[in-house]
Amino acid sequence: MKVSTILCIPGIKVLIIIILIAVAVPFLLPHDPNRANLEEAEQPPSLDHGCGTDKLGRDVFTRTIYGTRISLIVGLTAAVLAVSMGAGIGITAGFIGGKVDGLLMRIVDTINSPPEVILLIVLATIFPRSILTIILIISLTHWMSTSRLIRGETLSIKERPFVEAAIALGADDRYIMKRHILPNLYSILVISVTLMAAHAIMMEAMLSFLGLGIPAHMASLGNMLNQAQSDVMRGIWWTSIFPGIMLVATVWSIYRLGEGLKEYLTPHRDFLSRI
Amino acid sequence: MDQALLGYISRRVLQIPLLLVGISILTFLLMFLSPVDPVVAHFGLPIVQKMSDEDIMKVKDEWGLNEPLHVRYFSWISHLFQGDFGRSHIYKRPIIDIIIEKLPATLYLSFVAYGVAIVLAILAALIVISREGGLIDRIITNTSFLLYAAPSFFIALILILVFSVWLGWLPSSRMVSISVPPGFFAELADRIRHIILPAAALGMSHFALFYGYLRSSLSESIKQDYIITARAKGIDERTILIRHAFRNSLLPFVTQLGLAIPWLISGSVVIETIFAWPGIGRLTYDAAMKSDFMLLIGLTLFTSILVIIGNLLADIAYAIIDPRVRYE
Repeated sequence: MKVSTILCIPGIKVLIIIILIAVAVPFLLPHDPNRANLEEAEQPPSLDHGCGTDKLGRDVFTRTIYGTRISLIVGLTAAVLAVSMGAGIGITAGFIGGKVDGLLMRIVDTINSPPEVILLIVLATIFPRSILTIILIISLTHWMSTSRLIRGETLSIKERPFVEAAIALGADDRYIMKRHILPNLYSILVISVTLMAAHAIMMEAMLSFLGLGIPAHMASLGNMLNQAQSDVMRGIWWTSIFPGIMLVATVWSIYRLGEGLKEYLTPHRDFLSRI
Repeated sequence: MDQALLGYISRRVLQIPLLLVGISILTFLLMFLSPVDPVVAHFGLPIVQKMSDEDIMKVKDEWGLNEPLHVRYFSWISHLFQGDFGRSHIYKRPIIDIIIEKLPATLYLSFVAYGVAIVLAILAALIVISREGGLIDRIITNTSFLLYAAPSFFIALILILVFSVWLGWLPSSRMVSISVPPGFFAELADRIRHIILPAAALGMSHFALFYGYLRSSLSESIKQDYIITARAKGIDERTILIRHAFRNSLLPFVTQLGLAIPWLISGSVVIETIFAWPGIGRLTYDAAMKSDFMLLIGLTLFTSILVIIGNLLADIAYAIIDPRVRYE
């Protein structure tokens, strides 16, 4: 793919800007995201504090940038983990078939039955709160759709002549799965990871918003919105609007990127809308 | 009804017992992983600290907590079959009673939110589809992308900020005012005022979802050969759009709604928490905050069953509409 082509995908420019800000800007910021300064509490946006300060006097802009960092880290790691798990199980089920397939797919059906938010809440109350926990519980509750998709793809790739040729030449299952099935799934996996990352960011923000996600003292977008709930009732708008807009922009750009990749990498295929 | 359809339905229904067993094992494992000690949960920490180890063991024996895992599982299952989901330790009542008491509020909110979202999505898709690629299409479609990316709690906060705090038009919490004004119409008005904001917050992201689905399925069906035939016959565009294209997109869309139940429940957790709405979602949040683990498990089971029923109905409806599915 040429660079100029990549830049044409909608959402990618916004995403690149967000990533650059999240990676580079913390080195340039004059404020500490967690340093409370009660003398400067609840100031509206000004030249010194571009997005104002929260009720502990912490700089909203700085915290928003740090929160975006956490969102991106959590979203991407959880998505890679979930899609890897889903792909592994999907390929195994589709390729081996028979009883293994039946068992794995029943497990998928089972875990898919409780609404994901309920399952996330239950898991979040079981395990201690940390970034790692959030990443793990999001990936544990989101691999099923990928595994179904990959299983279906594996089933159809398995029937293609090059796989038959490989079997005829004496290739074993592991070799075929690694060399013939997996490479044909790369584009779907890339799309899945992208769309999953957007969804995982939403889930992290939601859990944090409910007070069950990232530990409360850390600056994450969901935590900021949680703490801003009482501010909103008093008409203090800047503590919720700025992190909220950043969250929407991040999720929107990743979704658009995923949709764009879908059209670019797998044209003429509508089944992918299920991802 | 033809044989193939009946066969499909019975095969589909027969999958359910297995699924229920799977879910019961899953929830039992979650219960086993729970960090909450049931003895502490029931009596409260101060009392348990005064109890001797022997007393605690005695209670655990009585409750069957010292039995092997599979024995505990089967005794739990037999209770479930009698409709006994266990007791909540914060409400001190049977869990199933609490759920049934809270369910109507959630259904009320979801139906209003979904109803409005569906009607608006259908209208928007119909308006847009004859002007595909035009200015209105781009505005509505891009807005729906943004709404899809916006979490419902952020939308809720903006709505509260604008309509409750700045304008002071609408209340931002509860289902009815604390002191309900007398008279039927006053009460009705009070209820309507209370549901507008939560329903809007819950409905917006679903509007985006439904609109996206309808728009892409309509733009597919408008390109089909039978539409060209209809045009060639000289039928006017409005009739073609509604009678030919829309009818064919509407049916799969309706079956999709059965699959939207997990969305409905997920959305209601967040929205009910923000708006202090006394439904299932708020109950889930309270149970998590107060570590009422048995209640959480009960809710997991209950909502899973709702999802299974929704999926089943969606699959059956789809098989009735699309005969190809029956012969899979």
